[in-house]
Amino acid sequence: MLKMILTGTLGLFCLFLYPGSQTNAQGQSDVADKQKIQALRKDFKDTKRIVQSGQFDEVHTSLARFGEREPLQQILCELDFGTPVVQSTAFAKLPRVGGWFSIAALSEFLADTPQNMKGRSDAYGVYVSPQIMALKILPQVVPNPPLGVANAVRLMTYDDEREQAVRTWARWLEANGSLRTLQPVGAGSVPSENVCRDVLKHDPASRAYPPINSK
Amino acid sequence: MTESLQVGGPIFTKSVSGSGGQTTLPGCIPGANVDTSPMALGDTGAVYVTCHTSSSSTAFPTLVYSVNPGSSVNWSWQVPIHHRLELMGTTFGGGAIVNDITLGPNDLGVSAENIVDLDVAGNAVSEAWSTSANSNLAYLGVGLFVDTGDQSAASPAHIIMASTSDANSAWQAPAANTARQHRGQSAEFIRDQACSGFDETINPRMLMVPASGSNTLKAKLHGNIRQDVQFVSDNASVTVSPLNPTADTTLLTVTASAALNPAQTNPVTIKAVSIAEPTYSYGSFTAVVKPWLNGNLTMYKVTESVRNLTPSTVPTASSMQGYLQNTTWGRQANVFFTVDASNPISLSVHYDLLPVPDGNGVLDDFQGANFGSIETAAIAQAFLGLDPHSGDNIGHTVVSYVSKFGPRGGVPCPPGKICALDGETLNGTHVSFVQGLQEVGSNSRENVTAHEIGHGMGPHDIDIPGFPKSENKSLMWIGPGDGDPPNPCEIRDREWRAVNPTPGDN
Repeated sequence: MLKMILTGTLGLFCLFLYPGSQTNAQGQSDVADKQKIQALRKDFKDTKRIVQSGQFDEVHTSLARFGEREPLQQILCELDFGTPVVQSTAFAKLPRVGGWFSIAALSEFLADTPQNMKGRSDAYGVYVSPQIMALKILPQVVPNPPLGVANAVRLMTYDDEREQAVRTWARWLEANGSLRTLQPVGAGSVPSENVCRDVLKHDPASRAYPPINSK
Repeated sequence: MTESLQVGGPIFTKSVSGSGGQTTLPGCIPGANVDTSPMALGDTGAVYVTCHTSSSSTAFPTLVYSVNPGSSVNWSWQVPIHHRLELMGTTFGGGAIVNDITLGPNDLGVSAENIVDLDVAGNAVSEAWSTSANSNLAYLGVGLFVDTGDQSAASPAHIIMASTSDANSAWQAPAANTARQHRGQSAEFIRDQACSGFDETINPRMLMVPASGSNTLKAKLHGNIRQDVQFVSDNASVTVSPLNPTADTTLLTVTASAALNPAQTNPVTIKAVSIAEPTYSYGSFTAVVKPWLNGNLTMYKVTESVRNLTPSTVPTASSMQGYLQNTTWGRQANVFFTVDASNPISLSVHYDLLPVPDGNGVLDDFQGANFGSIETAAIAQAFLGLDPHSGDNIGHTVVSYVSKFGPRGGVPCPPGKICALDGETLNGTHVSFVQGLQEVGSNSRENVTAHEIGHGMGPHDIDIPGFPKSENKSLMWIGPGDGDPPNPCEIRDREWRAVNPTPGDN
C-alpha cells in the first residue's frame, strides 16, 4: 500500500510510506552494525534502566538512525503531537537521526501555516516556532545545505529574512530529489493523531516531561 | 591474611598474618565434615562456625562456636534436640545472628524459625518475632529477613525487619562465607564539593572531567575493605589517583590526558575493584571527558527611552564572568564564557509598547498570548543593529537586562505566592532577557543569568512533578519556591550532554 502525505501548503515535500517494508537495519549486511543493533534493541527494551542511567536518548536516536521503526515512530509523534518541550527535544534528535525521515519531517514545518509559525510555551520553557526550528535544524541534516544554521532571533525579528529562508529551502529541497533515498527514510512511520496518542502515552521521552498546569 | 581449614575432623585451623594457630572445637562429631560455608568472621576477629554435636542423632548443625584462631573457644551456643541451627550472619561489635529452626515431625520440614542474636560474650537474645510452619528464612542484611515460605501461592514471600546490626567484617578466604558477613561492602562515589560537575541523580554516578584537565570526587568505603580496594579506569588516558584508598573516605582526582581526544571518547568507567578478586567490583562511576568550548557573552543594560525605566541590579562583567566560569558552565560543563570588561553596555530602547498605546512600565512576559511580543522585538532590533550576529551561537550570546518583567503569562501573582518572573529565553536562541531587579526571595542576577544562558544552549527548566525535589539544587531548577535553597548551581549530565555533547552521551 502506498500513501502520500505531508504535502503541506508549499506542496513540495512528500514522504512515501511503505507500511510493512523492511527497515534499514534489516537490510544491513555489516556484521558489526547488526551486532550493534541487537545490543541497542536489548537496551531499548530495558527502558527503566536506560532512563535511570541517562542513556535513553542515546539508545533511542541510535536505533532510529539505523532505521528501526519504533523509535522513528516515537520521534515522529513527538514532533507532530508532543507538548512543546517534547517537540523541542525531538527537534534536537533529528541531526543525529538524519536521513529522509528527518528531512521530510522538518520540511513539513516549513509551510506558512499558523500552527507552524506560532511560538510555543509550557512549564518547561518557551520555544521558537516550529518553522524557525526547521530552518535551524535542516542545515544539520542535509549534505551541502543552501543556507547555514539560521539565527532564530533574526528570523523572528525580520519577516523578510524568514520568508526568504523558507523560499530558498523549498526550492532547494524540490531540486534535490535524491535526498529521498537518504537513510533512514522512515518507512512505516505514521503521523496519525490516533496512533500517536497511544505512542506518546508510553514514550519515555514524553513521560519525562509530564504536563504541569502553571510555570 | 591467610586462613586454612582442615576438613575431616573437629579441627579448625586458622593462621593470621603468619602467626596463626590451631583450635580444637570440642563437641563436634568426630569425623564429621565441618561445613565451611557457614563460617564467618566477626568484626572483633572472632570466627563463627557451626558443627554437629556429638550427641546429635541428626545430620544438622546444632552448635555454634565463637573462636579466636590460635586460642581456645570463646563460647558456644546450642539449640535443643529436634531443632536445627543456621548461622545467618555476624553482628556489629562481635557476635552472631543465628536461626533456631524448630523441626517438624520426625525432624522433617520446619515448624517455626526464631532468630537469636548472640552477643560478643555468647549471651542469647531471641528476636520478638518468629515464623510459622513451612517458613524459609533468609537474611538479606541490614536487619532485613525474607521469608520465602514454601513457594506456594498461599504462602507469598514477605520481608521482615529485625533489630540486628551487621558486623563490619571482610574476610577474603576460601573458608569464608562473605555473604554471611553481611555488612554492605561497597564503594560509594560522592561529590567532593557542591557544583563540581558531579551528577548523583543517575546510576552509575557521573563526573565531568575537562579535556586535558582534572576533576575530583570522593570514594566512600562501606565495610572493612580498604586494604582490598584498587581504583581502575577502563581507559588508559583517563587516570585516577590515588590508586588505592587512603582512608574510608578518599579524595580522588580523575585526569584526562592531553593526548585524549574527547570528540572520540566514550564515557569512561572507573571501578573500585577487589584486589583479591579482580573481577569483583565494589562500585563504579562514569567519567565523561568534555572538550573546552568558548563562548562570548554580551550584556546589555536596557533603558526604556521614553519612560526612563532603568535596571537597577545588573552584574558587572567580572562578577558575571567569574560566576559563569568558576561556578557554573565553565566549572561543570567545560563551557567558558568571556565577558568583555566594557560590559554591561547601555542600550536605550523604546520597548514599553504594551498594552497600546502607553505601555505599563514593564517588559511583558512573552509567553502565551504575548509570545514574540513587539516589546522584545524592539530590544532585539536594537542589539541586532549593533551586532547582526547576536544569538548566532554561544560565541554571540546576548543577555538584555530590563527594569522589570510583567507578571508571568500576564496573570498577576496571587497574594502570598512566590511566582516572580526573573528571566526568559527562547530555548536554543542564545538570547535572554533578565529582570535587572533582584526582589526579595529571588536568586542573584548572576545565577538567573547563568540559568537563562543555559536555556540558550538547549536545556529545559527542571520542574516538579517530573523530577525529585532534590533537584532544587540544580541551576536549571525553575524555582525559587518554598524551601528551595538560594542560587542553585548544580549542572547535571543531562545538561552536559546538551551543551557540550561527546560520543556516547547524545
